[in-house]
Amino acid sequence: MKKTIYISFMIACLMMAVTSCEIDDFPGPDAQVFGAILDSLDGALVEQDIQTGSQIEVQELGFPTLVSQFWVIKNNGEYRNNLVFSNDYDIYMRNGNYYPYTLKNVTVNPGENNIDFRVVPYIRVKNCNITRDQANNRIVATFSLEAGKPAVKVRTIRLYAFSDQYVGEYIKFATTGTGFSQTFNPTIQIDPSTSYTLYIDLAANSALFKTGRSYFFRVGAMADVAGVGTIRTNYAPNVKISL
Amino acid sequence: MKRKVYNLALAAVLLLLPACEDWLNVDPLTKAPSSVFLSDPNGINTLLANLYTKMPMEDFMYNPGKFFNYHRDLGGNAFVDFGWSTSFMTDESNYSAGSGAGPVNDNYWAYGAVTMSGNNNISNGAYGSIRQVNQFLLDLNTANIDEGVRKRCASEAHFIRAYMYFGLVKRYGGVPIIEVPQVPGDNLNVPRSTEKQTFDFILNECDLAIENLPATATSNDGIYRATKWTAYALKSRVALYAASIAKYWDKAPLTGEAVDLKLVGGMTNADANNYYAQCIAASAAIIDNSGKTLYKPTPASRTEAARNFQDMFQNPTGAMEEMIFLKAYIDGSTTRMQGHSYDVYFNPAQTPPSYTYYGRFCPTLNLVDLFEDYTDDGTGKSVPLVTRNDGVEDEYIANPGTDLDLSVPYKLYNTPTEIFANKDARLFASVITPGSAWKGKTIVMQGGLIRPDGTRLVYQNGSAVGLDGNTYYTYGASSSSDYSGFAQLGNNEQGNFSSSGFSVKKYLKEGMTTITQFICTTPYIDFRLGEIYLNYAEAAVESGQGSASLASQYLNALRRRAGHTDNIPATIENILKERRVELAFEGHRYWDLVRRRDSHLAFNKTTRKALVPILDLRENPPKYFFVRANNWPDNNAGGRTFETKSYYLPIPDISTSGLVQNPQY
Repeated sequence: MKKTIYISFMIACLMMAVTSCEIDDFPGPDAQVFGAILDSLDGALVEQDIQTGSQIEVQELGFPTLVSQFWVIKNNGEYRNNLVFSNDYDIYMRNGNYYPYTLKNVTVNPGENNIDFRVVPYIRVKNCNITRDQANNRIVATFSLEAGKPAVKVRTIRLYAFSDQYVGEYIKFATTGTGFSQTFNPTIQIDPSTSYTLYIDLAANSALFKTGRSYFFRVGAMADVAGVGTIRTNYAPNVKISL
Repeated sequence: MKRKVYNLALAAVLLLLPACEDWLNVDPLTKAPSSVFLSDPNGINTLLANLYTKMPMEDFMYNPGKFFNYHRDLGGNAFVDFGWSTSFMTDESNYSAGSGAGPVNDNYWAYGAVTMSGNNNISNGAYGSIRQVNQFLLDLNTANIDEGVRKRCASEAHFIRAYMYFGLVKRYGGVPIIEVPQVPGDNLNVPRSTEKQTFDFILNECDLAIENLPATATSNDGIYRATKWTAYALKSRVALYAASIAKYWDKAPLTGEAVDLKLVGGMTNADANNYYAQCIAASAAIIDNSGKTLYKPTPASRTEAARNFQDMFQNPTGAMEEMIFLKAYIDGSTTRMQGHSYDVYFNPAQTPPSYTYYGRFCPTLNLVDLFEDYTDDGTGKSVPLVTRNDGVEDEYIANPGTDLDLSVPYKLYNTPTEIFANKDARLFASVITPGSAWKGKTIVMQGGLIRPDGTRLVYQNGSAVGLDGNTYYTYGASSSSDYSGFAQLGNNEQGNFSSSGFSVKKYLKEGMTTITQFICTTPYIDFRLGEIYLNYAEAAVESGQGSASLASQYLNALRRRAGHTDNIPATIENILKERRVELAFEGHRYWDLVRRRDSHLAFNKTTRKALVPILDLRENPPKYFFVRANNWPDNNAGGRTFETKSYYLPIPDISTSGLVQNPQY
């Protein structure tokens, strides 16, 4: 009798042990999605913020309650997500620095998927030139703006500075002084022929900028557009300057 | 073997037979059915008191990172759980060791689903509490009680339910509205109402509350119970909140399914005007009919004005002519899980409690600059403190410890108090300023000194001999019990010293000498007439409805009480500034920023500001100058940011409830 109990007990334990270590039956993410946010006008990359920037909002279909996932976009406008389940998705391009739109029933196949998004950015920062003005000890940026659609107005322009390449609205030095930004209140129509100049006075910000080190600078423009949700800053590519 | 099987079968049958008998359904001995309570006036009061404790009131025991009525057993590092305020997430103050810009993270919707060790667990999340109100309202219908009592209790329940839904709508936007206790078989997945429907429901609940609440709460009933005017006051606050969202939504627009369905936003200018009108009507009802007046409205001097204003918060029950709704506390050292610790955590370091943690509440220079000067030009525009001789008062240095530039023409003062001469009396009633007297001591806030040879000793402990031969210390004294500011920056003791150069005074009891955990019983002021005046003025000026001259009258009545003798125009700037000054640290600023969609503008990698007094030993006798600087913790954190999506919190657990999520979550 004792033996029977012992054997039954051992068998039970063994059964539990054998079944318990099995990973669940669900397959893991089997797809990779990559691509870029491109300007529909000329196919140029649309610059972004890596932190609190535009995101690709996707909802995996086939569930009773659809839950949004957000794919982060790199500063230069490219993105990659290597852990995606192959399935059909709705993709919402919204709350970014471009006109919102929706893509329904996008199929993500197992393996690599290249999905580029062609967007109309609110503002294009054109002819951007950032240099160091040795004589006045300033970083000077000159640029012009172009509206994505005629309705776009401009709210703020700013020359951002930071110690790494992720410089932007959310990753920036709190520079002091005047000249590094301009706010239009009320907001104004964008005239592509207007050339803007912004500068950071290095002497006034000596606590932030150390001689012998390199810093990254980027020009951003915040649009004013009605009825599109949260608007994020549009940028020109960053520039690295050694002081 | 066979017999064994029979025995087993017999046992099973014996077990199963009596299983369905009624005599096994015993009522629990630790709980009483509501019918027992509702047949007895004391029982009703017990039920009501329970509902009052579940109101989401942002009082002294609210921790925006934890929950309402948040007590935790002592032991471990429990201190961080106390002594918090939503004020620390605004531009009017910061936590001494650093605090972000929000959003509140109290999980009001679903609190209680997660067990939190050591918490008192007397609080439910919103829907648990709302269910109790709903049950109470249902049970009232069949209770064998006096009709007058029934009506009053029902109105009280409607008031509490309005308060709870207001707690939800300002965090989540439109929410599911549940008006009866749900039972098995009901559809439990009630969808969210629109934000507008939710506000309208709350305002209607206020009306139902107003209907049968008494005009006064007698000491027999309990002076802390809601009256008709409390319900009007809630209506005034809710309507102003709704109107502001409707008007200012476009300052921080959102998109997504929740917006398309108007679960958040989606209100029009007509809605804004309707809500402003409701705010004006509710405010006017209180001002005209309640008999409430400002506490000591015409002081003879500025000193008297400051003393009156301070008294009002030290002892709110002594100023009942202005009070509309208070929350009382009983001493927690004798009754477990009661009392609060405001005086423990917020006394400056020179008057510490019998506890290791204090000095946490640091009013910012941003706020101090807003207080008017009695010699202003009459437009209401506040003149900032004068720190320099060249008139430049908008430059702030990042870190005075390293960045102080002595070529700047700082203005020299003989004493640390002179710079505040002529400032609004409410500054001295609400804020402990450098050099001011508090509990018989002179409060010392000093960030450093300049040695006679011009070298700097700032934000680091040390001493130097002045030209007069005396020894002077960085923080104003040799012993850490003799100064209150700037010491131990970057160290774990930092929290005990102000990082802004100021310490809070409002609500602190100056006469209190023995202070231990949970011993404080100063009532929290939830509604007072001062707020209602400002609600009226803001709604009138924002919408052009109501009376502009009354708006001006109310604005200037508050200033008169503070010792001003002139009148300033009732512009929206002046009214909003008055609101920040009059209602500072009373829990309004966070939601004012949110409802007017100013949070993301106020906090965009923003550092709050400090005033750092420096002793200049190059002078004989030594003189003071004052440096405008970023506050140390904010500067260290690279500034604080409020994201636009944070105007609404994420709805928890939508995969179970099937509710539509808020934008960008």
